[in-house]
Amino acid sequence: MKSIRNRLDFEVSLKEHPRPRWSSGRPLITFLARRLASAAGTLVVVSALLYFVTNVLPGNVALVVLGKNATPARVQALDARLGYDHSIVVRYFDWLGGVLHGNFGQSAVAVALHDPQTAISSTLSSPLSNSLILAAIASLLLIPLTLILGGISGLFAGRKLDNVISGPLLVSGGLPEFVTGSLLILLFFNTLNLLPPISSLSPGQSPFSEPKALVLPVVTLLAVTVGSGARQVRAGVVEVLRGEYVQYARLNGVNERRIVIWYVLRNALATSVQVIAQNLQYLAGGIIVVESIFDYPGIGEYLVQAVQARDTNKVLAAAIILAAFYVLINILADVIVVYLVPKLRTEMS
Amino acid sequence: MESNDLGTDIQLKKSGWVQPFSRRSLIIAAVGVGAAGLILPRESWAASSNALHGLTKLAGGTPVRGGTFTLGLITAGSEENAFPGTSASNPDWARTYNLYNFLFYLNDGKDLYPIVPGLALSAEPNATATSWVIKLRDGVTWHDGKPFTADDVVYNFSHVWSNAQTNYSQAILAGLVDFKNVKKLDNLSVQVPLLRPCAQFPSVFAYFNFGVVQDGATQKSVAANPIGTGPFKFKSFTPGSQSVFVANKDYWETGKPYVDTLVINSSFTDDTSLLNALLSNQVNLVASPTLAQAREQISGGMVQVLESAGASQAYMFGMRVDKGPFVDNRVREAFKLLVNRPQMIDGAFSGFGNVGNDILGPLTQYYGSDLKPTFDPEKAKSLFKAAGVEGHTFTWPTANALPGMVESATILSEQASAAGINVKVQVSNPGTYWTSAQGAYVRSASQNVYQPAGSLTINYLTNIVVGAPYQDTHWGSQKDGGAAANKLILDAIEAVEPSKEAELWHEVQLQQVQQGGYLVWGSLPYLDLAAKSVRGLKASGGFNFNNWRFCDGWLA
Repeated sequence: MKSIRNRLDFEVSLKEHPRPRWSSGRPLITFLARRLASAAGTLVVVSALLYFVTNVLPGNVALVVLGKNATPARVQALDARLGYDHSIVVRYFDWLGGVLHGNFGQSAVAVALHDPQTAISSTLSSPLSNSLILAAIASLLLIPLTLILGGISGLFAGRKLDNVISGPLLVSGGLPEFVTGSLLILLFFNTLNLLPPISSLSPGQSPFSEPKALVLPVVTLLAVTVGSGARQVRAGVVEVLRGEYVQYARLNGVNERRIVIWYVLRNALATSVQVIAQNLQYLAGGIIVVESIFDYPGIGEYLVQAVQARDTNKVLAAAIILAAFYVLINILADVIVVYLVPKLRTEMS
Repeated sequence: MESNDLGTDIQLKKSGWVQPFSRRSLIIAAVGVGAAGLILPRESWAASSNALHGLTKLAGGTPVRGGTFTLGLITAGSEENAFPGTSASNPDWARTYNLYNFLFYLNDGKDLYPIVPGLALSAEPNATATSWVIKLRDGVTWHDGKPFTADDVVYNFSHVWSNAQTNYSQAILAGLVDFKNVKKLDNLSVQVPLLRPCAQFPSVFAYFNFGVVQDGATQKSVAANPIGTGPFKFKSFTPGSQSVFVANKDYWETGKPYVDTLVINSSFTDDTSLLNALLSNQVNLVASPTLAQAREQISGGMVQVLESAGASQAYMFGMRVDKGPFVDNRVREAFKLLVNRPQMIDGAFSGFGNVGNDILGPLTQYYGSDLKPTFDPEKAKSLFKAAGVEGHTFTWPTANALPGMVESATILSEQASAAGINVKVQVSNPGTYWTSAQGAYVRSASQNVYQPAGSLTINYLTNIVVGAPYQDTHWGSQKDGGAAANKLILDAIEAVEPSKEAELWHEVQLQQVQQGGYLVWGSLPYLDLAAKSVRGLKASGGFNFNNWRFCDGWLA
């Protein structure tokens, strides 16, 4: 009787509040579609900002690339080859169209030096894959470490175990990467001579061919990200523990282990996902510094060299890839949060 | 063939470095040294009496064959290339000096002269030094097995060195060489007619952009597969990352190189990681470490430090003489008087190097080392007052492009305040400092560092005469006496008789000291680092690692 009554109530509710025709009944997919559309729009705006900012910086790119020996004729010729004799708006749309087809344009420096290989796309794959490997290893360790350390710290908040975990995390999270990296080199190379201080690779060499060389860059990234992330997870766990439903569950005699896993951690996970997503986004920026410290040939070092050489197209290529990574992480984090929090899905439908 | 006015032919040694190419030039050098007291004793190098110095050469012994030299360098990114004419950074020079040879090289002794034979054995002028016959070395082969001949040299003159697009130092030869009439006399002789006399003409070919490429080579062909006559052959090259070269078993310096492979790792963006790479043996050679690192390693002893006996990299502040705030010579003179140069050496050079005396070309023939700078801030103050600029603020652009640049500009600012003058240091982007984006060679005040050149002729043709490509001061364009001053330099360049040369160059340099726009406050030696296992390498004032001569070294 009770279940029929519930079903009747539900059907009445549905008649009063019919589901919109366009709703597929799958709120997650709808949400994802909206987020992807919004992400595409964001990337277009970012690309326009990047393009216009890099192209209005003082100094002609051809002049800078040709150096102090540039003659007006050479500058003009290089400008024409690189398409700088067209208006900036025309150049932007040409470039954007190319990017959508995987063509990031030509390297101004390679063109100036008569390099047979001027296409930027071919120079991106190696640094990009090197950075992805470094980021992937860091991420695979970042997520469980953040959750475990933050969770334990939160569950034992105020007690000795919390102090043992939180203290070092506070320090490592507060130090900039170049300080952490330098200290790790001092300890593991200069003092203990256990690990190499740089992670240099020959062109074409796989990062996995020298696994020891990856340890310090990964640990540096983790020290900064886990340090800050775990503290925020801890805060989330502490807040959930104070929640009424947790008190209620305890008063009802629910097993503590079940409370921790099903009530506390599951609910703290939603905010934790956002924290982890922020740290994964941070990897995009932090990796530039870490790659420089350890001479690791990734997209960060690629970007630094491109900026130094004022090779605008290369700067744009690296920057738009990092921006896309940033946006993708955001979308992923939002989708996971929606999946974990039924209330959000219900609100959508 | 016209008579050789330079003296008798010499007997050349076939292996290793050879003797100076003429007895006459050796005599001139000796007279120059004696008359000018040219070389400062080593004890007076450092401004600080407690400063230590590096080695001028590593331990020798019996060379050991095999192994790999791995040279670590700060990257020049995707601008790196293997074409000698467009080489513009340490990674480029490390490559081109080992893939290719030059007709002549800077001396590896305490001075840069006399130049020594490379692919050329001698250069003989006619009586008026308006035509030169260059005799080439026999038995040299290119990396592809073809013989090196006069056709290669003629091609370099007509297609490479004459063209600003393929040679960044083309301006040295423009207006000097009659390119259309350069011709081959026989398989190993080339005649080079000049448009005006030039007694120091052969020294041009020891300059860093004049590596010799094969007949028919272009920038495009070299980018794909560089072929030279040098001690190492091309294997691979990734700009901004790494170059790998293998020993040339048919190299004309018999028995060299000793190592099997030369790897140039130019991926480093950070000096600290570069030093760490050396300390962890991931590289065994580092060129141009920071001065602080060099100082630390001399005391610390974890690696070997090479320091050239001669300091030839001239550091200067430039003041434009034809327009702007430095037109009045009292202002220029005042700036030269207010600089405490030993203090500048200590502060900007970490105690390395020598005090400069406002003229270019240290270690070259006829360099006016008898012209000493004066430190008199009180006189500087009165000169500023007389010129009506007391209390004035001068903006001085600089960039962290080379060691000591920003530091020296900062010290100048501090020292200027003692003379009642404000100097506002404007730190710019090093990547654009020497481009027109930053007003290079147009701005009133500037800072520059000059690579050593083999003669005063090259120094003045590149930096001082009217039309020089790197003319910071616009000397010769000033209203009063500019034309006469420029003519004086050209007369010195064209003088053939040695005593007349010496006299004219002295007059030119005296004029530069008294009225010129350059405040050359110091010169830096070349500093390099080598792992403890490295042997045989030397330091010299010509370039890093004695003109990048890795063929001289081996691994113990």
